[in-house]
Amino acid sequence: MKKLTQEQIDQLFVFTKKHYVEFYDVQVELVDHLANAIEAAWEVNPNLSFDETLQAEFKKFGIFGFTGLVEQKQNELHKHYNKMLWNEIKSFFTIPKIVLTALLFFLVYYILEKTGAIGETFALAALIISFIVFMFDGFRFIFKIKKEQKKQGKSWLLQSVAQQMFSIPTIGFGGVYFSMIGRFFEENLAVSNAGIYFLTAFLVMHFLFIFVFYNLIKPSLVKSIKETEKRYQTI
Amino acid sequence: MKKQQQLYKGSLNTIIMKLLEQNGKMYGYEITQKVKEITQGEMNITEGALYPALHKMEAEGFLDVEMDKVDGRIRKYYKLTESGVKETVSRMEELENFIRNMQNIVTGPDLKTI
Repeated sequence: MKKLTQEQIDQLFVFTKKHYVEFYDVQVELVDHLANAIEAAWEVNPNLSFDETLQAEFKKFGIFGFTGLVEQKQNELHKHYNKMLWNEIKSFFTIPKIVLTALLFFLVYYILEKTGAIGETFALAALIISFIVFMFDGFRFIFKIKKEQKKQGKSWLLQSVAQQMFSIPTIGFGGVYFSMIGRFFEENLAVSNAGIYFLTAFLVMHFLFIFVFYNLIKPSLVKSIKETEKRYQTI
Repeated sequence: MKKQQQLYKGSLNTIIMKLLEQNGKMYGYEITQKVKEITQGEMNITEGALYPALHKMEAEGFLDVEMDKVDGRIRKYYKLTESGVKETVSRMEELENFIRNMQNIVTGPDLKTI
């Protein structure tokens, strides 16, 4: 049976890259698929050329080629981590954790009500500072990933998902947090009663998000990226 | 795509899971060929449908992957996880119910159910 040469396998990697598949783990799967399909076609007709057969097999992936496939995989993983994040946050609103959440809510509310303007200043400062820390940690994380990709000469699809998990909340909520800075320059800082409720709820949700993100999501992403690297290294 | 392919479409994930349950671990191309072989060419899983289905089930935790080097290239095998095995059982039950109901509709009511 006619088999693909190493040079032709390398050509398949170049072919997937040319068709916008930048992640090594996805390239590997597509290269093996194309190689199997080409070898099967050669079994029927050994005189077929490599390029001709490759083009015929590529057509089977539909009009979007590999791009739709990469995007779909990214979306699935993104959905998976988002679900993990929200399920964990939701668990703080169910028994038994809801007792802790309610206590936290009333404690924050009590402090804000008693301390007035000073309390609000501290609350806003805590929100903005923790958001900035989250943002910088995100930059640091993404930078580390890019450095690792450069070193290895490979990138993994999961790394792009990890980057999204940091960048989407940063971009999506950046405006909300930075607009809070304006509050510091207003003369009457003390908020109304309804305002205290809102600020309390916002503070609790904000820190719940940060807590779950750093306790569950980030470690899980880091672990899965390491596992992916290991899986391909041991071959 | 043939018209009849539409009928298989909704059961694609269940078909893949069942094949993995029977064969232990399989790679993408192997799945397409196995389906073709079993159905004698009647059912054709397209590449554009197979990989999204595999990736979705992998993200959902129903499938795990394993790598192996074959013929100078890396092969990605899929296998069922523990939750994937359970999911296969429940999906197969659903599919069997569906087949039974369709059978009843097509051939008239089953005497046992009257």
